[in-house]
Amino acid sequence: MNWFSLLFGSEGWGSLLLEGAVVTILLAVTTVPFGFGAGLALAVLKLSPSRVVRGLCEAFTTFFRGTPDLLSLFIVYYGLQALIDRVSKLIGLSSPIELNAFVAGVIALSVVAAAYSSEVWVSALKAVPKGQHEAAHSLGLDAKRTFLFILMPQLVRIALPGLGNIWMVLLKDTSLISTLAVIDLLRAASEASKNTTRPILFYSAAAAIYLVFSILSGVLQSRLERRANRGFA
Amino acid sequence: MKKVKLLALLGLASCLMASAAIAKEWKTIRVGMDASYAPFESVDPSGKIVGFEVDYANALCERMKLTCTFQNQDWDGIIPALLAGKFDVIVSSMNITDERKKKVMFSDMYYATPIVFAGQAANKSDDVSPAALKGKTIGTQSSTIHANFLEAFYKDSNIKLYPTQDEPNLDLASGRIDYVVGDGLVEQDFFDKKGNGCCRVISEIKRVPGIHGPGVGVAMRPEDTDLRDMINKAIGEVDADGTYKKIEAKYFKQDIRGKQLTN
Repeated sequence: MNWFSLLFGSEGWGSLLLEGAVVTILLAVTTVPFGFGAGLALAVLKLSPSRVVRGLCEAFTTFFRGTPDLLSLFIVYYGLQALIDRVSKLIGLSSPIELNAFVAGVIALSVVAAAYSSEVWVSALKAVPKGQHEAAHSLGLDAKRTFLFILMPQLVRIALPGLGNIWMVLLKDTSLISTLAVIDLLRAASEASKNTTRPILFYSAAAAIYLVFSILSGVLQSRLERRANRGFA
Repeated sequence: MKKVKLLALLGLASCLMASAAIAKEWKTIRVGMDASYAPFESVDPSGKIVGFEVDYANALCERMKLTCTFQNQDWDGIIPALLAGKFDVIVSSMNITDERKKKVMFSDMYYATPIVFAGQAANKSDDVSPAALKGKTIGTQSSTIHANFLEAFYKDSNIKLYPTQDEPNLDLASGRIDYVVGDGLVEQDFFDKKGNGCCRVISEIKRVPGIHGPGVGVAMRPEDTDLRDMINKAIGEVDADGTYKKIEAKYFKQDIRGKQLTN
């Protein structure tokens, strides 16, 4: 079979590659709210007056930035599962709560994204002038409103380039889930290449799809940055 | 009020005791396999797992009046995944060895195929003794009886271990390594379908009792003794009514059933 029918034919592997691409994008998009949200929470904690809280946050960040993401994935998939099993046995649950590979991937990648993005959020939090907090207070805005309407828009404007960077890395880190036998884009390409012994064809196709995702992400990021910077000189 | 509470407590206690007494009801069996081992199990273009062992497991489940679902799991983590409860049995050409019996329980053996040395087509020598292969590179899959065999007897050769059996075959085809040890039928299938005349099966290796074991069995968690009994019964039934021969004929020209040995 020539390369065209291998990729696009009905007997071909094109549909498996597309399914893998969907899983990849789904994994990355699902991770964003949890990862970046937890990162923001972590950043707020890092600026807390308590030394203990700051120390714990630093330890968390150091651990997950300092160990390979693949290791974090295995720790979550095997270790967290074992922890859940032990706790379920202790409280007497009869049917086990199972951590499937996709969920383990979301948790592991969120944790890593939180560790990396917390640093970006900390610099953004520090960059908002203290005058903004004081002005909001003098206007009588409560903490929640101050955060949502005054701080967040300014934080996002400063954090966006850094977060966009982390998103790009996250998009590629999703390929680690292929080690847990989930059919993501890389795994689909690997299965196809093993079955047809045409590795270059399928890995190039996978690379092209990742590139399309990256280019689209870049376009989206510049649109978001332009909107976040409206009103600024 | 006190009486109602007491009755409720007794009711709850009896429910818990009753549920502990009832053995686990099997309705579905989740089968874990490493689908990179054609023709026994592999992934087809639509992402489904297909192969001899898929058909065989479905036949067993039919006899047991249960449904089988299949999950792909990489070979190196397949036993930890079974023990962690990701699936219920392993039907993935796992040879029965004493080392593995320490962690999992096996059913009766359901096939035994020749284990072979394979080499490049240009290599005309049939001598695969440890002395002849001194300094040569031999590849095989890690965490397998083949890896144990090489590590025990071929200490003077360079042993390269790979995550799946496909990779040493690909390296043999490209000339990166000199020899491969593996299952005879898997090797032959690879050379027929994807080899392009690069390589040939050289000779069969006699099974060493302590290392190779009697053949391949279904692996399950040590506490699932009821499941093992059900599976052994199903294995016997699939043999007896000729279904085994029918499935076998679909994939192989030779008989792979091997001697029925209970372990």
